[in-house]
Amino acid sequence: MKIVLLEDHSHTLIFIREQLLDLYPHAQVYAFANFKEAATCINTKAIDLVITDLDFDGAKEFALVADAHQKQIPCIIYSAHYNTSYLNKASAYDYRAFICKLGGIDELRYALKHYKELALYQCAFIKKQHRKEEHPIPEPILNGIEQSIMKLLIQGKERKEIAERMKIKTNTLNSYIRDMVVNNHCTLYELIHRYVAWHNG
Amino acid sequence: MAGNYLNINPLLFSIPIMLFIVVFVLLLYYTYARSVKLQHQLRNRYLTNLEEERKRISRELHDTMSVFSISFKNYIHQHQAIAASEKEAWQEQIINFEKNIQDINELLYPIELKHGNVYSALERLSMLLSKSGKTLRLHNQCTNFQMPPQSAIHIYRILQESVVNVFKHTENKELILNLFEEEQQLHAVLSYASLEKKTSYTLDKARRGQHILEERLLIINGSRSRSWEEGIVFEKFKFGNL
Repeated sequence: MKIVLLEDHSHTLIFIREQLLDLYPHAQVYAFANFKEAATCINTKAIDLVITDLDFDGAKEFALVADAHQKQIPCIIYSAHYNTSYLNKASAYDYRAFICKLGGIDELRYALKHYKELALYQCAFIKKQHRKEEHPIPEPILNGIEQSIMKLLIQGKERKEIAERMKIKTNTLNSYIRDMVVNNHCTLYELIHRYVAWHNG
Repeated sequence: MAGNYLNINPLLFSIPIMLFIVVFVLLLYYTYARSVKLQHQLRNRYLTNLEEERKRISRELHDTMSVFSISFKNYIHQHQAIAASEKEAWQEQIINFEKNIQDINELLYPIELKHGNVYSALERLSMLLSKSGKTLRLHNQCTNFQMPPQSAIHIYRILQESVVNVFKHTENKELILNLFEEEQQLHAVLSYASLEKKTSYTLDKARRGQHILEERLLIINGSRSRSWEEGIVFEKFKFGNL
């Protein structure tokens, strides 16, 4: 078994190497601290697994992941970044596992051991960070015109401007807003909150 | 001869004087315009360097911490003398510590802007704020966030500063930030409950952050205004020159 390991921090590199040799004692581990050498290695040897950090060489963050994807080599990403944009970008390369360095060691060992069966696997740490705790917020009851008014209200438009845009009188607008508040049994601010919670994007 | 000379229309004497005044005024204007341009360049360079420095510190912190914590976690993992329950407790402590450092890193420089956009970076900020019990509810009506990275960081910082100010200076625990496009410009409206017509920038007494915010707005040709509506303050930002 031939494994390419790309990591620019020597301590981390030694640590991953130790884990690999513990799980696969007969594996040949090619460890690199820069992208160029790692890329040459996967281009010249028949590699079974790539483990890479995203945090090196500045602009080349995903370069080895992309190369591995092109050559259809299973790839495990081991990085401290777990932001949505990183996860989205990485998923385009069909990684086997995305393990965050901030999680436990067992997560890495799990991915190393089961990488063949995994697909776009994210460690428990990442999943936990992106879990949204939604509090139940009642949906606001608004008809078509009221929704249009609400959209302009949350854009910070003043009543005179809203009335002009809606081609209605300010008094009519005022009564619309009053009805919206009364029908939903809340203040205008609470109503805005509820609307935003239910209509994002 | 002297008589002829004196017979010249006196208005002719005023021509060189007028020319001199015009040249002087033009020179003054040129000097002023040049100094304004220079100030703009200096301001831009100062803030760009500030962001670069933050980015560098953030990266160093990130690198140093991740190496240290991985080694430490590995050491605990392998140590035979430490009981399993104790190992777990230690690991949890390290992970919490790492998370705190990562949050500081994000505040130093929003890494999300590298592969994401202003909205996803604000989502990340919202996530960070939620850890301290504050809710930043985002409402996105934009479809396009294409903008130069230097503008994106200024917009992010302006909104971050305003959001943090509201939490810092008012009792509010929930804010709404609405992003939308109008006339091909990005607009942001920060709304929050307030019985008085006070905004984050009037509440910020020291105004240090406000000065930098104003500078950033100048750089991206942005503006801000406010309005008050039935107990709600709306802080409105318009970002030009994207």
